[in-house]
Amino acid sequence: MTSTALDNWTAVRRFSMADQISFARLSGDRNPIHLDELAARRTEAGNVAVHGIHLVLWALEALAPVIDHASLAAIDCDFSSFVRPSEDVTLAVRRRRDSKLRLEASVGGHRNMVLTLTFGPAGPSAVIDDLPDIAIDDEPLSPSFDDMATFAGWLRPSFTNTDVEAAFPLLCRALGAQRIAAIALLSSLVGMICPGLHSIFSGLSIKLLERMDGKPGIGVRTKSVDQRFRLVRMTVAGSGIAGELSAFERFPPVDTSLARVRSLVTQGEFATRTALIVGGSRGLGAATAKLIAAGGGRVVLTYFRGAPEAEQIRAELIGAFGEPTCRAMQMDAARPELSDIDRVKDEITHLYYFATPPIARRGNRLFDRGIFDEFMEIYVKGFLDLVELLTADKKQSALTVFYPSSIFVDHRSKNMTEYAMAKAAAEVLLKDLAAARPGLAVMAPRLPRILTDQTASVPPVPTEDAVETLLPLLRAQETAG
Amino acid sequence: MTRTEIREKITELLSDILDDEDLVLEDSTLASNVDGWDSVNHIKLIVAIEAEYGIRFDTEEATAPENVGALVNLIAKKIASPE
Repeated sequence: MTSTALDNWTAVRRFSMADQISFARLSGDRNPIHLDELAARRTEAGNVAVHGIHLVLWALEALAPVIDHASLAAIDCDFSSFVRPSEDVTLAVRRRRDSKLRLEASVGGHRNMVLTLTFGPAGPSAVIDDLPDIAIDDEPLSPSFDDMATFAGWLRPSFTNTDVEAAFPLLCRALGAQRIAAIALLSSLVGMICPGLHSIFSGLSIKLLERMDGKPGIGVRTKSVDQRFRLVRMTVAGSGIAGELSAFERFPPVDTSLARVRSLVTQGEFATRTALIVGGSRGLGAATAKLIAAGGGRVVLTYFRGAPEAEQIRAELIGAFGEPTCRAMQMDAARPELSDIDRVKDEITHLYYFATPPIARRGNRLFDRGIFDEFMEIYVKGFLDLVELLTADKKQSALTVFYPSSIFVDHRSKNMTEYAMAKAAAEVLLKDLAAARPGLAVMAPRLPRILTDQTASVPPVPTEDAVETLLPLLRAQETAG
Repeated sequence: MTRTEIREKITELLSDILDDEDLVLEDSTLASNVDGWDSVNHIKLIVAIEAEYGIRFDTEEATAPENVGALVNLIAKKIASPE
């Protein structure tokens, strides 16, 4: 390892969507979490995430001028959080000791990856023999845990060494394109095959071997699965690398099936309601739309970015309950006056307000004014503006409001300060609003942690069922008027 | 094995996971008080503890301890009467 050149060494990169597409093409990892903004929104990442292996290979390429790749013996990597395109990710040397170099990739001081490089003699050759070839399809697989437990096969790259050399020229010159291609394939292994669609790459530990002979690609065999934590460990060997990697299978996007909702709701119990459901394209909003429609009510659901999801729910509800049941409209909850709210406001009897920015945030600061303002813009200002719009010049000023507050106002985990503060502020507003407007009936329960796209974490954290939590609350609502 | 020894071992394992050589854990320490001790790193810690002591937690046990002291107590109980 080069010594003095590493002092205070850093590299910074901002990945673009073009980079995402390029690496997906190169590695074969076309998991939607890396490419599809809408699909990624319904995962723990909350947004498109940079391929973890892309981070590793970028780091190794960036280090080429200051380290001797030829003496690199092992790569250990721990992915701790997602990097999003358009974020500046900084790679810095954290520690040098004996034959080890430890680096950290971070965004805004928040760690995303720890990369440990070990220098020394290469290990002996190793392959996993006699494995059936595995094809990497265009769509990621979603195998069961039983299938994952017995998974074994040989992944062949669908790309050429020239492609890899173009993307990582210095690295390929030092370590060989076939070896770098095999490392890139690990992204496909996790993202497309095992665990596939709902995977999150946790970490890898690979040795670089002295020889890089044999067929291109890499052999893989599952070492263990741990269903408690939805964790899969695999051994890999071939093309000059050998080692282990681990990946989680996250919960799939929350699906409150209409069949289940119908089995719980009494026919006609919400027949008098015409509900405006803000943020109705997913999560609790979508569940509420289904509950009310199943109970004979009519719903107008709003979405901000999730037009396809909103249309899917609208089509499902119309298919089940008929044309008048559901309409969908675009609305920026921070600027409801810019929407078509005027066209429906006279019909609305109930308002359900599920609009939210991403709740989980990262960073080490106790309080971030920008994040707080973002919550306040939607939870307080946008909500009040919408109530004003719904009740102003309305033939009948009665409105029943359901506003989900949160138990996090009292008990919260780290990094929830701004969220809880904004919810607390909304509670104060709702109380005063109800006192000032006799026509309003307000319910603002502090909801527990409910399984939604935003809370479906890895590993499982205790959560409540959306339908079972919401239904009694909807039934208990007092109607305004 | 004493409670102090178990807590020191937890500190060592978590220190390695979090890459934090200065980590100090007290019985009263909450995961939310430690930078980087998120749900994924908690699972890594639990898996490392299981390998270290040859014990096994069920899902509820793994996520239930409210602080380091409760986790130490749980490990001590498991070591004393392995299932």
